[in-house]
Amino acid sequence: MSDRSSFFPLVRLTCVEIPRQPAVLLLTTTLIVFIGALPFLITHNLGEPGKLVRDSSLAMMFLGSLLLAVPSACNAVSSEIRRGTAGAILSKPISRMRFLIAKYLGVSAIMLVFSGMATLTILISDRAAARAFHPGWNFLIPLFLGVGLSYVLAALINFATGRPFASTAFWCLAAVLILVFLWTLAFPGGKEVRHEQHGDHTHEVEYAGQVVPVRWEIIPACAALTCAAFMIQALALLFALRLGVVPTLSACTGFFLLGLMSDYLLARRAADLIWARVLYHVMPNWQHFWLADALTAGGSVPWAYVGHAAGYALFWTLGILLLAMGLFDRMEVR
Amino acid sequence: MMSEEPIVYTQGLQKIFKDFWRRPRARAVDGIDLSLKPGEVYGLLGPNGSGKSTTIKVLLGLLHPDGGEVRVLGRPPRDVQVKSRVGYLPEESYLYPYLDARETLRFYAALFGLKGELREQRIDQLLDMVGLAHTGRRRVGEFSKGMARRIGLAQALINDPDLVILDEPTSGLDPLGTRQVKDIVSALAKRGKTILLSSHLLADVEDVCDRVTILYGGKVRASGPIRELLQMANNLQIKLGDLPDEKREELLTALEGVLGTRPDIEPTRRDLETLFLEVVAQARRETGEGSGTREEGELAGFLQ
Repeated sequence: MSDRSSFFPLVRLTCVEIPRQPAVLLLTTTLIVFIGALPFLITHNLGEPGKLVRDSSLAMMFLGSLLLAVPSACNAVSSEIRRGTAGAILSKPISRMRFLIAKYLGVSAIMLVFSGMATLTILISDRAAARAFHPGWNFLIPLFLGVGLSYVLAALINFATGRPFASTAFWCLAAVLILVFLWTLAFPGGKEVRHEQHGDHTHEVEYAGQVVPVRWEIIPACAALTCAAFMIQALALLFALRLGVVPTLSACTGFFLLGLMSDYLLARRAADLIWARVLYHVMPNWQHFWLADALTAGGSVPWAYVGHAAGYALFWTLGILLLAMGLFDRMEVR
Repeated sequence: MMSEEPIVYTQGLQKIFKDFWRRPRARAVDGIDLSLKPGEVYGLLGPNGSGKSTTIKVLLGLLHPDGGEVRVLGRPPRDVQVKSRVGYLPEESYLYPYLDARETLRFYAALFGLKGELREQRIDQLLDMVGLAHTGRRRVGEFSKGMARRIGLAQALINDPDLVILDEPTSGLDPLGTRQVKDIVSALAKRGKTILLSSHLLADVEDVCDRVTILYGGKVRASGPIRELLQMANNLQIKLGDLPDEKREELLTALEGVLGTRPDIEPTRRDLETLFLEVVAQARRETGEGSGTREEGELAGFLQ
């Protein structure tokens, strides 16, 4: 029997198991609520309405990917090894290489859903922040109601069928966010408030609001960040083979920070110093995936660039996964 | 026709656990030789830490031997083809806590490539066999230890394996469950399956095993057919049916004349397990089922 048939059940089980961790639901909800809250939390616009909200949202999505990658990878690998379920599975007809790839793909599938949810929230939040000092409640209220509705739905499903609350809420949240986004597309209206001078007094007057367009250019920027998230995921999986949650988080955060600063720390020295040149090429360079500035400057990001960034991410991820496979192949599973 | 090649073969098997710096920390297995014939029930006996589970994990390819030779079903233990013919019940029931019993078996069945009606039939039969058919959507994380062992046993048999490796199979089970596991082991052996059973519960091993190896400190201390190992050449036992008092006295007097001393005589006793099973069976007839597991069914149809 080939171990090919046992591959997809393992991917599917990983997809089922990861959202059942309360931490995943908590992180996802926090991210959505926080990004949704940015339009009324940020009270500066620095010359362009929405810029700060957009930049902060993308930064939160990036950081959220790191925070999600670590518990997911640890649950998929180190917890399984510690709990003994990895040993039980590896006693079945599945090779270690397929086990690890299945785990990576399962975790990445959840990461993709997470990124999708973050992208939709950023698109909604960006529209809500289009007018300085006047958050678009017509976008934000459906968003927050949607989050609440997902939890109520999950509770009802849990009550009626006994399905685990955390994963049900996670999937409900994903579905409801799509509906909320479609709702805001279908009903983009709102009221526009203008300040008008009447004699000595200034009055706020409400008019039928202008339709705020969706800034679709955000999607390629989010897609690039998702590629970076897959890299972080591979890195987390590599560390999770040997380490627990906290050391894995520390190591991944180290790589995250060094990768963010590699242009500053290494690129300048790369011309003169061999070690700096080697390290500059080996370290993940997250700047390739940070396109918020491009959005501000040019207003759009070409998909061809995202393709190049995805190629870089794929190359780097494959390298890390090969390293992880080599490590796992000789590893003892007790 | 059965192959004469051993199902499990180890020669001088060694396993040393090392620390982070690769320095030897403990010699868990030290030169173990095993050879399991097809269709036999083989017991690995020993106190905690004697090397039983380590040996099993080497046989499953989970640990790498540091010395010696290992072959399972004629191949290296990490071979995927080998694993498709092996069923393994780990020492602890390592299960995904959020899955229910049926989902758990469905997952393990899928790992063996079982699909559709065949898979569902096997799951139904195994759940009936281990007395968990009624647990519905209850998650295995909420199961008692005994129930978890039962679902663990079911997953070990889902692929109708040629070699069944059971690590402490009766740990955490009540006497009814223990009896059932022993019956399943005996039934599987009759069907020609080879069973390697590790336990420190001597009565369980004695009841079902054909041959045993006793380990201590990672070394083989005794090995052979269980009847030969338990036989005491200088002590004999005479079994008699019901005797009237006068006949008994007559027999004792005659024996005293031959032996020179009066031998001890006492009525035959049932063992505690037999008594317990009789009492519970009687109680079940009177009061019906309790909570938890239900009375187990027959050996699963596909295993018969």
